[in-house]
Amino acid sequence: MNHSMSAPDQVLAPADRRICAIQTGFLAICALLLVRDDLAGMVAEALVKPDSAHLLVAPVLIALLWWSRRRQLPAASSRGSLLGPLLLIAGTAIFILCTFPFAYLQPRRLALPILLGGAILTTIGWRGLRFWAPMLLLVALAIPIGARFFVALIVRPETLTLQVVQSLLDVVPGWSVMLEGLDIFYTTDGAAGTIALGQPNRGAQHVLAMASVMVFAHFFRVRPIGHLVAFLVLGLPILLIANIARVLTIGVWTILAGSEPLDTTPMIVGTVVGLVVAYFGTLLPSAILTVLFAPSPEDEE
Amino acid sequence: MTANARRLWSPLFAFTAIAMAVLGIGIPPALSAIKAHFAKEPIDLRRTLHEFDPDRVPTFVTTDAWAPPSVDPRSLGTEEFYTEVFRPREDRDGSYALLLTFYNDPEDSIPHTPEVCYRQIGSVVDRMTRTKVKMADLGEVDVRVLDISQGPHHLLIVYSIVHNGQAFYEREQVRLAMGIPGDKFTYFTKVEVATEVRRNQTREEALEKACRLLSESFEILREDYLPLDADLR
Repeated sequence: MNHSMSAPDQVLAPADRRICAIQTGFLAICALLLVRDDLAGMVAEALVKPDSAHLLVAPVLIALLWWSRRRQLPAASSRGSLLGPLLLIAGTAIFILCTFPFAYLQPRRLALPILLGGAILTTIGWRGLRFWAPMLLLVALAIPIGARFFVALIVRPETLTLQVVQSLLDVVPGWSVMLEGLDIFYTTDGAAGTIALGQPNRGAQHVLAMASVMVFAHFFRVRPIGHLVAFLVLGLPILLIANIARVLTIGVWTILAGSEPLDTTPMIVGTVVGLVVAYFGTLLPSAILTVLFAPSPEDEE
Repeated sequence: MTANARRLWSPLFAFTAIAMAVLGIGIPPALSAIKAHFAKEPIDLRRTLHEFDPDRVPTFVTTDAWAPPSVDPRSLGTEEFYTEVFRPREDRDGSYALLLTFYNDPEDSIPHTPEVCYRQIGSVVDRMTRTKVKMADLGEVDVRVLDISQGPHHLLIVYSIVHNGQAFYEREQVRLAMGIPGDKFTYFTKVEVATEVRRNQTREEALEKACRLLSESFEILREDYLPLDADLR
């Protein structure tokens, strides 16, 4: 938060940037202190639940993203905004109200990226927030979603995913694949079984991990605003395709290997395939955008 | 003070930083203390739901046309439940499954309601509306109505969740109400009726009967089983 600059969006001098970095760090530590119990709870959850394990990778992705964009850092500090403290107040209020009198775990956890955004906006302003936005998005995506809330969110898209996978597997000669409820059953010559049991409850959590990989892949370099819009438009279909690839891999592996419905190997292979599809599925349009519309320096975020 | 230090401690940053430091250190223990102070306690049913007497439902009788849905207490999250299939006295063919559940742990998060549970088994929720039903001394209240497709079958489900003597038709409403300090004790109960709309009846006929069963069974529940409002304070 430097008030020696006259224009609000003007880039700061190196000495002021160092001061702003200290200020941002201090406010971020205060925000982490406020949510320390939730943070500890989320880490503990990620250590025992594979569905939330991508939280443990998020700090690495954030650090890599920061490193890849470090050359833009000098231009990423401007005069702090008065909206920053308001965001800090909003984040604190959400955290308090969702702890008492109400017990809403998910919005309370989302207070963390809001508080961090407030800290950044307070000290290094809108330029800083634009620079850090993908990292804040990774923080938000790393937050584990409670099972009940997640099922309510995902059950419809996951049902459609299972329908698509069933249709794709059913066209393979010699394979008869049916969807009953949310369980996929298959019959081949001499074999029968179930695929991807309980997907809407468990495996679908990987959607957040795939979304994190997509954010990482797209924002590895600083992009102009047009590319951000394209990412928002293309991101959802790519995520859906990656999820279909994940469940399809589970299905193909289960049928070919004759695995049991709850075998972990097809699940792991499916997850890896889903993450790879999400990564390259994001890189390809990002690369095309870069080639077709090379950004001018003024264009960049 | 050097120029750098002055810049570091600009008045607005100093104020924000001090406020955030105080909040960061002080809020979590303060919230824990407040939560402990206002924590509600569980209150038991006056009679267990396993003793629910189906013969007291005035215009319905039990039927073995359907077996009562098998219920796993672990999936319900409570040992206190009752399930039975009824038919209206005037209608030999109708089947209306009643499910009563009761929870009193203040730390319980409310289980999923049918619009989520049925989707988890592949059904499609076609319509989610509400209608007015007389619920004993609570008067006419809104209850949730769900039209669900399960393969070729058209299911109709009505339910109401009653928390500390107040009826709600949405899970989130109950969560909000449970958070409000006041009562010393807490409970919530769900009364749910499910039926299939048969070919020889209209949806409205099936809905009227399902609502009637909901109303009549809740009246018995309120009269003899649920904790009294006066005991909640």
